[in-house]
Amino acid sequence: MIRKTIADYPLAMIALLLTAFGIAVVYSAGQTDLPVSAVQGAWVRQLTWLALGVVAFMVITRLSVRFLEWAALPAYLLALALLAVTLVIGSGAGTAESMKGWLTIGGRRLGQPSELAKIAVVLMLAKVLASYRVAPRSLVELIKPAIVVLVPWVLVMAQPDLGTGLVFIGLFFAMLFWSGVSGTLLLFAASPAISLVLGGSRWLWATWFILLLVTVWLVKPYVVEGVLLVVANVMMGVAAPILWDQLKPHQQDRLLVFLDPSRDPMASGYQVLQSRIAIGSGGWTGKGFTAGTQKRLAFLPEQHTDFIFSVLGEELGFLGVSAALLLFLFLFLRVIRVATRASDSFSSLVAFGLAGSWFVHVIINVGMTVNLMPITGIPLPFFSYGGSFLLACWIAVGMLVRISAEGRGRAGELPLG
Amino acid sequence: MLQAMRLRLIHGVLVAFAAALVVRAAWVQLWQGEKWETLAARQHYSRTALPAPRGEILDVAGVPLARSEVRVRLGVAPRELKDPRRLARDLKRLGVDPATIRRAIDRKRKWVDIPRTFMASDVAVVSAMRGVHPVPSMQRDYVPLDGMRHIVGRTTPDDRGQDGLELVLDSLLRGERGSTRDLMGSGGRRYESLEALSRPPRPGHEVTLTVSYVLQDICDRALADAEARLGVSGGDIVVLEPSRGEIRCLASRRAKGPGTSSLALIEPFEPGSTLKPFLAGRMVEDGKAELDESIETFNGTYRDCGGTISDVHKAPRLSLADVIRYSSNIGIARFTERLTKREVYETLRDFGFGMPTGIAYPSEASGVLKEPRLWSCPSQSRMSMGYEISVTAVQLAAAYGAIANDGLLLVPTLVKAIRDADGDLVYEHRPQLVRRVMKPKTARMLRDLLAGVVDSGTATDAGLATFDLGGKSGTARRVGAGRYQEGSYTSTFVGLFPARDPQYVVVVKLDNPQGTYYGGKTAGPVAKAVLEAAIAARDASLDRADLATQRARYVPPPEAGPAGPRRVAAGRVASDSPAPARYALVDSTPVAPPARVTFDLRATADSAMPRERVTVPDVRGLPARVAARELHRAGLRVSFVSGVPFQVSPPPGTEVTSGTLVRVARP
Repeated sequence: MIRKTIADYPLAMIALLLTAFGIAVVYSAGQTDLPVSAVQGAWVRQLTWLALGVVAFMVITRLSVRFLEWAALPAYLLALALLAVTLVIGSGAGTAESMKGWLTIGGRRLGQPSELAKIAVVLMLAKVLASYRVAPRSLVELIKPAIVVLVPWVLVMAQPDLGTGLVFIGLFFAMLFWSGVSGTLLLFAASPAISLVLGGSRWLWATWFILLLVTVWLVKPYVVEGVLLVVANVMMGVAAPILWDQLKPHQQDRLLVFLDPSRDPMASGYQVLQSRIAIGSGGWTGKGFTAGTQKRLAFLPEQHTDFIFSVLGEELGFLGVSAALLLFLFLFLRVIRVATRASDSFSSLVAFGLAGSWFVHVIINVGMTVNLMPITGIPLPFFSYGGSFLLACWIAVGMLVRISAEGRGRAGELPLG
Repeated sequence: MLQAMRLRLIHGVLVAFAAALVVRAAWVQLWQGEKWETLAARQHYSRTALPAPRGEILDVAGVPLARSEVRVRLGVAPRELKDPRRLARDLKRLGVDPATIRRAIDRKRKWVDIPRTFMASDVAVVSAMRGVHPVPSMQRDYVPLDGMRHIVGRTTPDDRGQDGLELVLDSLLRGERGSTRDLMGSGGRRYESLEALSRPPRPGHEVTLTVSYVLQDICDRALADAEARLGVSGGDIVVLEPSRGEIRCLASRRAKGPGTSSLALIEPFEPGSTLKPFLAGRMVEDGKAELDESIETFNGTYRDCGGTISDVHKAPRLSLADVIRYSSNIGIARFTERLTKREVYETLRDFGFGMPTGIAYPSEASGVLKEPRLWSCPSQSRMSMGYEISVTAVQLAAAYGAIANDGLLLVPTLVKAIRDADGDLVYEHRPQLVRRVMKPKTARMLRDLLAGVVDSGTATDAGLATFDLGGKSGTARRVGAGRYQEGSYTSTFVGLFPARDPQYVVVVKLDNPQGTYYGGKTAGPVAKAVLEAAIAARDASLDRADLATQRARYVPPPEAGPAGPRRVAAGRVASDSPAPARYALVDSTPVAPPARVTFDLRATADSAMPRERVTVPDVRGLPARVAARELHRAGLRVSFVSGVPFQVSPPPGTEVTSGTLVRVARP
């Protein structure tokens, strides 16, 4: 039942603040001693995209959640089609020259279909999960949701865009968790991936494998499932070293440099080091807006996109960093509030999925600038320069405001009891 | 409930991650902040030292003797060049040889140094070219006068004092290095920026010497002339202003080639008869002898301690005055017998022999004055006639200075004044008393006696036509191979000019004159030539007003007359010197008007480039072009740099001299 409610002003305000903060930093990122015109004018273009985003926000808030639910499948299929097309005619750009992330027609880059795909996958996954009467109890029941995420994941990884791939995985598990899937099942679902990661070290993998066997024996799933799980983990453990060799050298470097940044200070470690110098030299209050020397003198890589948080850290210091992180925390808490008060499972899952997607972005991006995470080309929501991402973020904000408006006004049951 | 648990878990995860990020940020930014700041500064800034010009060295009249200038060396990185042909053209115009130009534009080379220094203004255009790297370097120019070079000394290639006054005064002459802090972009690109404001170099102190360029030139020429005319193997000339102890010239010449130091301070010699007046003065003062008291001189041959003393002027008896006038060895030896060994030693020691004078100059020699316990039987008589003792020309000049200065022995000096870079006086020479060595009355008596030597004694050849000159000649056998050599002499003459109220003490020492070797016949005329040239030059720091009274007093033969007005010592010397062209090293003897010109070093420095005070206009917020126009209108130079927009340095409202460079951060 749709209640007549006022819009979720706090949510919109937080998003607006974040965007304004972000555009200011994008502006500052363009203020360098050797001006690069593409970066210099980025904030103006970002403002244009914001205008577009606000229009999209207005439109979305006037669309019923039911329409969104109906549009989930077409949007999902469109996203897959665009991703596929992009693989053929896409092009790289600026910071990600080597990957085919942009849909390009006649030399004009129209946008990144992966941004649309993130929303489409959230909608589609929410629709699939909402169709269950009870939360999935077995791996078999997880196959359908898994396929929903796996198809775009493969297309995205083929670009290759590791960052977006991580986002898909993150929102997949977040939404499964929110839909009520038990922890053990999530562990089982994730176990092949864990085997893949730990496969690098024989000892770690062996420990993990024994732990898994014990869990399987204790939980006692279907026999087929149990056998499949064990086989999948063995295969992944064996495949890990082989797959490692399949990784592009720069991807290998990123992982290794994460473990030991001093490994290669001039090449792969350079970005980590420069980012840390930038953010570290900011101190308490920073060097002043637009006055960051790391950025001005072009030591900081990708200062307006992936490493924008370093600019923030250098120029506004620890206080600026804390303010930005606090805003993000407010955003997530507000979105979770929306998810808990949503009128039905679909709305609740959409809200939580969007929050999960942003959360992965923030954790990986900020984590990478302060060297808690490996370097992954992933933008910071509302901050990083990038038209389609900002547009996508505001479409998501629009959805969230609409979901909030249609919500029950009080906390309810989990989407799937 | 399940839901509540999950929600709590989610909130927990959120807060944990947020906390992790904040803690991590705090760790990197606050805990490790300094480390990263250091790293940032290391890669952002490059400090370049700016050499400070060494202080100028001026002569007593303000003529620059040594001056440093910032020159520019050029390094070329041929591979960075954008327009090698333009560089080649410009270098050719600067007079660089074609072979070097060819190397400078040879792309196979990484770096080529142009082996020359240039004036910064000449290479301003070239320096701005990409691939050309100007390096500022200091060049020290000296006045081209050997004697002066010996006094002033030299600097090492890295601009430190090597010898002479450059070494002694090194810490004062040396300036404080400045530095610039350039911003370095990634990839080694340099930026000029407000944050890179430099610390300007501070030039060293300016030292004014007591030495006169003109007089030094006269002395150097006189020695060269003596070498040509008398065949001397070397010589020293010292001219001392006795009332202040200021050395006006210090010339040395050796046939074996020009040395690097002033040997008049370093190479002692046996002074011979020039030492006689000191002991005579002591005996008269102590009442042990009278001037007109005569003593038997045995017609020119006297034996003592197994040796023979002979006189040139042979007489049976001579008064003490005549002993000095005719330089009787027997006479002084016999008179000196009235003094004890101790008294002889102390007299000579009191006049400053046997120890350094204390002049600021490296490796000054102290000469040799043996203690009485080391004396042999003939020592006392030999020392009375200037043997068994060695002195430097400057010691001798200082000792005669005491006679000229009514019995006060002063420390001789080469440095008159030192000013810091702002023109403030840091040091000014004041006559520095060592001790009183005799009563004024005795000094006057000795001056009269010395006037007689030139008038009618051994040094009549030194006599000047217009002024009365006092003096004493000396001729000593030279030592070689451990014994006194036959036919090899050191001829000395010490003159007091004018005789009664001396403005100059002139010491002339000639080594090994050929033919006539008597000091009065060889060194005396050289002293005379120096003084005549000095009077003619009219720029040798003589007090002409005072000289005029002396001439009036002494041209008529009768000796007595009212004492002339006492001289006012302070500030007199420089006041008579006309202002020279301060920014040109003079090469010829300037014939300047005798008018009294007050010479103010600071005034000249300022008036050289008249500048007015202007206020920096407030151009903050104006478009760059308008800002530049405003600043130019105010008479300022403008440089646009990067930095926090609209920052202006010096800040608006500051009063600066016109032509000052104003840096404005590009809006």
